[in-house]
Amino acid sequence: MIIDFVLNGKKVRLNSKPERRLVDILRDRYSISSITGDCYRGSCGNCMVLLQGRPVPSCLVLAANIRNKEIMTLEGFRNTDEYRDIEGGFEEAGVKLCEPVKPALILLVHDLIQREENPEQSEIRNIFRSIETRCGGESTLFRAIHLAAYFRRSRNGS
Amino acid sequence: MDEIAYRKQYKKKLFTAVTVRSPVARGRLRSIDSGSLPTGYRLITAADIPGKNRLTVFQSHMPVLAKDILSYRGMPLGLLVGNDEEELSTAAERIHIDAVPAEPRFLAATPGPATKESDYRISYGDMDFQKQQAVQVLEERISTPPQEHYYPEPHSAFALRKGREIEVHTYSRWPYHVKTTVAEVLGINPEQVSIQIKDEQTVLDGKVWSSSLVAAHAALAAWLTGKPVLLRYNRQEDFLYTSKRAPVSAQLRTHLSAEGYITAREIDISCDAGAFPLFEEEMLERICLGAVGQHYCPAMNLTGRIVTTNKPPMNAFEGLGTSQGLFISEVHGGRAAYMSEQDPYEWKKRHIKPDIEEEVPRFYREAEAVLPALESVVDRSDYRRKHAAYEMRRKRRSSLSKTIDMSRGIGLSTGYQGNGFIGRKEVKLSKTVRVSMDTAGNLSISTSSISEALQSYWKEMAARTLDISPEQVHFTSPATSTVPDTGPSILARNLTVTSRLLKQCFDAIKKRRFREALPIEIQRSYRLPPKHAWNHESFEGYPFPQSAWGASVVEVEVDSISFELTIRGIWLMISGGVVINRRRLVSSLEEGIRSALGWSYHEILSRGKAPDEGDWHRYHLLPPAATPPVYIDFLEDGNRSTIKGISQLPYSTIPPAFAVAVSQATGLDFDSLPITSERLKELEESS
Repeated sequence: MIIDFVLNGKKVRLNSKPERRLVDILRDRYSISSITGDCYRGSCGNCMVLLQGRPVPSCLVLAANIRNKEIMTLEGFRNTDEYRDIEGGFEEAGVKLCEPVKPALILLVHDLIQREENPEQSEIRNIFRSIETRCGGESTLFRAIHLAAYFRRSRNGS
Repeated sequence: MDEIAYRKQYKKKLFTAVTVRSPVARGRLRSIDSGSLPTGYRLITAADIPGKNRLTVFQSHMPVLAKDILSYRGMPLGLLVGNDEEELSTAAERIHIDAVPAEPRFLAATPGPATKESDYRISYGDMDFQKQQAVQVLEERISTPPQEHYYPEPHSAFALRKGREIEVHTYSRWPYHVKTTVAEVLGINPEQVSIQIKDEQTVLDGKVWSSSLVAAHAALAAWLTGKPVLLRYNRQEDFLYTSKRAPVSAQLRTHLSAEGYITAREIDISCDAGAFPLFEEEMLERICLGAVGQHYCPAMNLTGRIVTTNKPPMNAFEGLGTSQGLFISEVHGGRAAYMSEQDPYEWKKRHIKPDIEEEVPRFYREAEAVLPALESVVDRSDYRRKHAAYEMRRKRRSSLSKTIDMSRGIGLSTGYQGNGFIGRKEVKLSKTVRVSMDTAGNLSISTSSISEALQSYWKEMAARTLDISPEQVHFTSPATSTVPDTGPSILARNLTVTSRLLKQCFDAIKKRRFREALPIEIQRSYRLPPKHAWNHESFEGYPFPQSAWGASVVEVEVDSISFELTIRGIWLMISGGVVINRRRLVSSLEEGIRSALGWSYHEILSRGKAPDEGDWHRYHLLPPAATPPVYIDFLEDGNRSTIKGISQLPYSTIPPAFAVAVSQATGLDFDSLPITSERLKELEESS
């Protein structure tokens, strides 16, 4: 099956079986190393990508579902100002994340502060339901997210 | 593991290995038939192993690949290797395993076939006399469940054969164990094996020997095929077939005087080590010492044993068994206080620092160091007032379901973290560091620890001692070919033992740098200080090279209609040496609290069977979002220059405080974890 889609801002054409999982396609065909196929049930978050701007676990997305869609991984997101807001927040708070959980958390925080300029604790709590990890202390994670939101607001002048 | 980098570098030459596993929990293997395999593909079995088919930890062994006896479901019995994952997957499905199943043994509650070596005994005091001083006896069984490590990355290894040598890349807390295991399995000299070490956070004292098994498999496949081989478990495989926190069961009988003092105690402990007890000596001793606890007892008879079952090896978790043991002694101590109708805080304090004339064994005297943390946590949590209020309400009601509103309880617990291996084991395990200063004054440190936080701490320590810039301090590449054997990086040994050795090296260089020509190289090895002599049988001396202390209070609320359990607050007070980076420490302790709470009421893994696919689908970690308000603080312990490992303290102190709090809130006694709302409901309905 021929599938056209946009990966990290570039148009690409893929010949794949329709039932192949997006995480495997991104790793095997496009050498996207920020994600890993880990739990294959959508709970760990280690394969998180932005699909049409919203975070989704790519192990639950099939090749057939990405036709004409826009996909961004952490590799592409790293070049944006939005990423730097989050990176700044995490650095300032002193958060040292385990590598596998990084893409999920960064993309989920981006999605949150994109929707809510000044997210409430309950909204922050919700994003942790999409990842499964023992890494990260609560107070520093919450502080990092508040700081990221603050940097985003400052940059947007709001 | 940077799988993509390996694929880019080796392309089609890179082989992947799939582990072929036993379909039965117990039985005998008759044959494995791979059928016809694609060209170049190979099924490797025990018969192909050129060296010894065993993984050794101290004096205990397990087969690297099962030859005939199958001891747990998922036990590795072959490796299928090839260069196309899809073809490999199809070929793996075609493999036929002929096994004769037998009735598996899963429960370790009753004493099983313990080996003489694994028995552990503590016996001191005049038991008969002390029993006569008692007016009441508290007898109960308390047990603790297994827990999954849920590593940041599942087990993996990459191996590359280079002529007569082999290079292995893996995550491991004990790189030199990987090296010796690979050498033994391949039947080659350890000098022919090089291990590249990868760093990983939050491994909870796991990946000690289990990485060596995966590395030996990858190395075996690379050695026999001559191809670079990658072996990576997926999360489900890691969950089902790798080691978990060992479950423990204890029968306790405590004799109490009319004043509520413990006069004598008999304890019988069984630790379920799964199919192969590895690391069992240290683990069992820590469990038993934890079960002895910190409350002074004039006469003690304790027997501990390792029991084998047909589960995957159950093994080390953060603290190697201390938290299981402390859970048992703290919950039992809480009940003894209730039975004596005494305030648990006063009862605890009197037992930690007894007002008696006879000499108290040093093991108990050292525990007095927890008192400042205990007093502080009691003050900050308003424990005494809350406890008295909740106790009054508990006594007024006949059962939880007859309460019309929320019911509250509060629990108190103390604990310790024993850093480094017990007694002479710390000396037996090589612990060497090497530091050199070149002609330009640059410092090179060789140790197998690659933790970023520790390296940054050591950099600062070196810069301060030698008055050089931190930029002049470098760490040698983390490979066994370049760093000395520093032993396993668990039990906070890097923080305590390695830090001390490095400081000795820095001081030695400071003395010699202006007297001798550069370069200078200093090597230091660990020696057991004489005061750390320890004899468990006579209960003399002190077991740990260093200890940190902590006290916790947990306050809970239970809805009497829905049995929903809410934690209102957690207070953790730590007395654990100098605090280097408070924010990072708090973050690490919060991680620990979340995992300790997971063990207490959220992560459910049956102890009555081996983990199965149902467990895999049900098992979830407690998300950061679910953590209640936590108050953490640190007390200076007088020695401002000592840095100690403290990350195990949440695991040791919070689960027992939680269980005692829920007991007060509900009036129900719990003999095990996890305590879930469903379990509360069942217990209440049956009571």
